[in-house]
Amino acid sequence: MAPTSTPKDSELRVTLRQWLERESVFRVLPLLPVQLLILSLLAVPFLLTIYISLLRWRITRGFWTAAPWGGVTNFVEALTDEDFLYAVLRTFVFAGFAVAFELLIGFGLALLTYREFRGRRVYLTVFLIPMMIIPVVVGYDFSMLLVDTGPLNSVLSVLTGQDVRIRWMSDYRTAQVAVVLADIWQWTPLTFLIFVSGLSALPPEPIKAARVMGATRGQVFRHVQLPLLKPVIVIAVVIRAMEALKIFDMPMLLTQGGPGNATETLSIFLWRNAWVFNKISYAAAASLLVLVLFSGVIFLSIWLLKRERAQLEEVRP
Amino acid sequence: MASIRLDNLVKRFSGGVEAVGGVSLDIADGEFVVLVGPSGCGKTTTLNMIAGLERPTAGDIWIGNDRVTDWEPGDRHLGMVFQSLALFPHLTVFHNIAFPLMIKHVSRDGIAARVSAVAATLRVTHLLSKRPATLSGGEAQRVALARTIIVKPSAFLMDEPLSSLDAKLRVEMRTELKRLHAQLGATFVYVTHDQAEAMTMADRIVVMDQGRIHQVGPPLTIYNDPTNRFVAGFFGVPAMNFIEGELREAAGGLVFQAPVLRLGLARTTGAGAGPAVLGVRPEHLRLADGGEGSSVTVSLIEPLGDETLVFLDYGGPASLVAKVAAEDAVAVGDRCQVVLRTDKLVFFDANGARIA
Amino acid sequence: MRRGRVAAGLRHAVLGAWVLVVLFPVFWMVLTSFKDAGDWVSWPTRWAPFVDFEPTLLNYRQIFYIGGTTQSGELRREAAEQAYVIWKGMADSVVIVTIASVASLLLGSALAYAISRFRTGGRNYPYTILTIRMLPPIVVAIPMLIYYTSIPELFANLGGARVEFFDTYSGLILLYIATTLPYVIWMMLAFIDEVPRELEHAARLMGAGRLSTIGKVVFPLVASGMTVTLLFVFILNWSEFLLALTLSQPKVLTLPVLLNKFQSAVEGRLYGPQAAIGTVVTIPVVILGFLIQKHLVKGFSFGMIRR
Repeated sequence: MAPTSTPKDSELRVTLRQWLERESVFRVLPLLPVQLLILSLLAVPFLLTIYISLLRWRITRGFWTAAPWGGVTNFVEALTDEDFLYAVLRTFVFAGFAVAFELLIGFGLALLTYREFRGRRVYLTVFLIPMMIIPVVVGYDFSMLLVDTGPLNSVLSVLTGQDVRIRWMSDYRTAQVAVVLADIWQWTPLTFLIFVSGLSALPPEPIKAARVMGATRGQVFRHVQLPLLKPVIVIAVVIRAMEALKIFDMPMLLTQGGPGNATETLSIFLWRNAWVFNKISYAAAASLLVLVLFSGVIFLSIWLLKRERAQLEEVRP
Repeated sequence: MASIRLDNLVKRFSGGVEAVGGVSLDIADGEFVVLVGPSGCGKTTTLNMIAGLERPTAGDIWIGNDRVTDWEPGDRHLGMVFQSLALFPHLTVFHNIAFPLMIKHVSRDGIAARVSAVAATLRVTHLLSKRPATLSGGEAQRVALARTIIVKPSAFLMDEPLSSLDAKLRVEMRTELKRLHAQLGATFVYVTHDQAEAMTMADRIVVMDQGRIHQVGPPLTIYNDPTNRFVAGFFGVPAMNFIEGELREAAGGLVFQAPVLRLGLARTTGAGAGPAVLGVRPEHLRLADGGEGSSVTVSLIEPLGDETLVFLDYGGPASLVAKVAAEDAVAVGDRCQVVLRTDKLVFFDANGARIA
Repeated sequence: MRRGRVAAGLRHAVLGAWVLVVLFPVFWMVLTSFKDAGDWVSWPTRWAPFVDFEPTLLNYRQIFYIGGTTQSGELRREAAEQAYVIWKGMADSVVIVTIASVASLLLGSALAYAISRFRTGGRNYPYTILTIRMLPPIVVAIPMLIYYTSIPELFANLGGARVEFFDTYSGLILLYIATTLPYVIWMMLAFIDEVPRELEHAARLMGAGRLSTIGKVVFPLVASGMTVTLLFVFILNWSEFLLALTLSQPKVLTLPVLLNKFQSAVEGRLYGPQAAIGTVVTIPVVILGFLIQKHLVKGFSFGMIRR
C-alpha cells in the first residue's frame, strides 16, 4: 500500500490478502502449524520408541540401526522388574498422600479466606508464593532445610529441649515424608487458589434462599455450597493428581530418588534407566507401559473434566 | 436506497437443524418491514443472511438490482444495529461512530466533519469523548444508530435493538426510530419478538414461525384478519380467546356448538360443517345482565386503569378473557351473560388454518 | 460480638501459622544466600543477621564474578569459569524461554480464535490437545532423546544437510512450544470466548475485512489476556527441568539444569552460592506471578475456572 511499492509487488500482496480473507483459509490455516508440530514432535518419536523398545539397544553401543532385535523381552523384563513395579506403587501412594493433604489444607484455608475481611489480600498474596517458585528450587531449598545441622532440627531442638540431629535424608521413611511434605508445601497454594475462586464465584441466591428457609450455616455448607462446588473440586483433584503422578523435578533435587530407591518415582526410575544405566530400549519399553497406564488415567480425567465443565457452564449465568 | 428481495431462502445448520425453510419476500425501497415471531422462528437467521453474516443453504438475496447472495457483508452497503448494540468497548464514542469511515480510509477532516454532523442529529455530541461502558441505555442506543447512519447505507437492519431498554425508554425509542425512518426515507428491516413493537412501527409485518412466513401484511390487517391460528394468537394482549367446538348445519345457517356454548351464525361465513375453533378477541366480548348470551362466572379481575380484564369461567378448559370499560362494576363470583360480537369472529380448522 | 471477635482471632491464628509455613523455606534460602561458608550449616543454627553472623554479598559476587574475588591463581580461574557458566545459563534460559513463549502464544492464539469462531478441529479438539499436556514429560523425553539423536544420522544417511536438534536452542524451543500450546489454546479460548461475536459482525458490516476486524476489534480486546497468557507460559518454560536436563547439555544449559549441576556437585555442597542462584532464579518468576495473580487460576485450570 506504500506509494513506493511497485505495481507488481502490491498486486501480489492484494492477492495474498484476498486469499487470507477467505473463510475456509481462515478457518483451517491456524491448525496447520500446530498439527505439524504435534505430529512431527510427538507422533513420529512415539513410533520410533515402539520400534526401539523391541530392540536391545544401549546408547553406548553405537547407533540403534545396528542394535540386535529383542522382541518383547524388554516388556517382560519390565513387568517382572520389582524396581519398576515398586516405582509404580510408590508414585501412586505418594500422589495419593500429597494430593489428599493438599486438597484438605487448601480447602480449609479457602473456607477461612473466601469472604472479605481485613487483611484478606495479604493472606491471598502470601499463600500463592510457593507455587510460583520453580520446583527445582523447591527441591533444593528443602534439602537445605533438612540438613542434620539445619534449621528444622534446630527448631525441633528448641521445642523438645534436646539436641535433635535427625538425618532426614538417610532414613528411607523420613526421606519419603520429606518428599510428600515438599510437594504439599509447593502445591497447596494451587488447590487453595482453585477453591477460593470457586467459593467466591458461587451464586449468592441459593445460599440466601437456604438461609431464609432456616438452614444453619452448617446445613447451607453441606447441602448447598458443597454440591454447587463439586465441579470445582473435581477439577482440582484431576489437575493435582495428574501433576503429582508425573513428579520429577523436586525429588530429583531433594533426594535424587534415594536413599537407595526409597523416593524413586516412576519418572525418576525411567530417567535413571535411560541416562544413568543407558538402557534405552528397556526405558523405552517401560515408558510405553507407563503410557498405557497413564492413558487410562488421562481418559478418565478428560471425561471428568468435560462433564464437570459442562456443569460449570450451566451454573454460570 | 434500495429494495430487498428474498428468493426462497433456506438455511440449514450443521446437524440438520433447518432454521429457515424457504422464505420469499419483497421489501420495497423505503419500506419499514418488521419480522416478528417467537424466539427460534428464524427471523434473526433471515436478517443475518440479508446482512451476509450467514451463508444461505439455498435461495438468493437481491439488494436493488444486485444479486448479493455471495457478497461479503462489508460490500452490501447495509447498516445494522444489533441486539447488544455491539459498541466497541475499547473505543470512545467518537471512534465508534468514525469506525466505518476509518475502514474506508476517509480523510481525518472528512471524518471529524461527518461525525459531528451525525452526532448533532442524534444528540450525542456531548458524549463523544466517553467510552461505551459509561453510557446509559438510551445514549448507547443513539450512538449505535449514529454509527450506522454515518455511511448512509442503502438499508438498515435491526436485530431487536430495543430489547435491552426498560419499558418506558423502549416506547420513546420506538417513536424516535419511526421519526428517523421518515427522516432518512431508507429501507428498514426490523426484527423483534414483541408484537407491540411490530404493530406500532411497521409499514408491513412479516409473521414467522418455525422457519416459515405465516402472513405478510399491514399491522391492522394482521390483527383483524389473521390467516391462521398462530398469527391470531401471537398478536394482541391479552391473547385472543379460542374455543374448541364444532360447526353444524342448522336451519337458516350454521351453528357453532361448543360443550357449553351455542352460537347461531349467518350463512355468509362460507365455512362448511365440521370440527372448528372459534377465535374472539377480548375486546369483542361484552358482559350483560341477562337475556341473550351464554352464562358465565367471573373468576378473576385485573384492572388496567382505563380498562379492566375480566376472566370468565364458562365450563370450558380455559377461562375466557374479556376487556371491558373500567366503569363496569363486576366482582369475582358474579354470574352474568357474555355476548360475542358475531361480526368479529374468526374460525379455524383443527390444523389451525383459517376457515372463516 | 464477643464470639465474633474470638472467631476472627482464631482465623488470624490459623492463617498466620500457615504464613509462617509458607515463608520459612523462602526466608531460609534468602538468609543462606547472605551467609559466608562457615555459617551455612553451623550448629547451633545461626538465625539473626548482624547478631549471629555477619551478612555478606560474597555468594552473589562469586556467582556473578563481580568485582573480582579474594581468591587467586587456580581458584580465581575456577571462579571465573563458574561465573561464565552462570551468565551463559541465564542467557540460554532467557533466549529459549522468550522465543518459545512468544511463538507458542502466536500459534496458540490464532488457533484459539479459529476454534472459538469456527469450531476448527471439531468439538473435541481442545480436549485432544489437553491429552498431550497430561502426558508425563518423561514419556515424551525418552522418545525425544532417541528422535533428536537420530535425526542427524538419518539425515546424513539420506545425504541431506546436517540438522541438529539435540543440545541446541531450536530443539528445546520447538519442544517448549509444543508442550505449552495446550495452555495457550485453553487460556486464549477463555479470553476470546468473552469477546461478543456481534462486535465482529458489526465491524464486518461496516466494511472491515476479516484480518482488519481481528486487528481493530478482537486484538485490542484480548491484548491483556494475551499478556497474561504470555507471562504464564513464560513461567512454565522458565521452570522446565526434565526436558532441558534430557535434551540439552553441555552446550545448551538452562538455569534449572544449572542448579541441578550444583546440587550433584562432587566436591561438597556449596549452600551459599546455591541459595544465591536459587534466589536470583526465583525473583523474576515471583514478580511475574504476582503480576498475573488474578488470572493464575485460569491458567492452571485450563480456563475451566474463570474468575
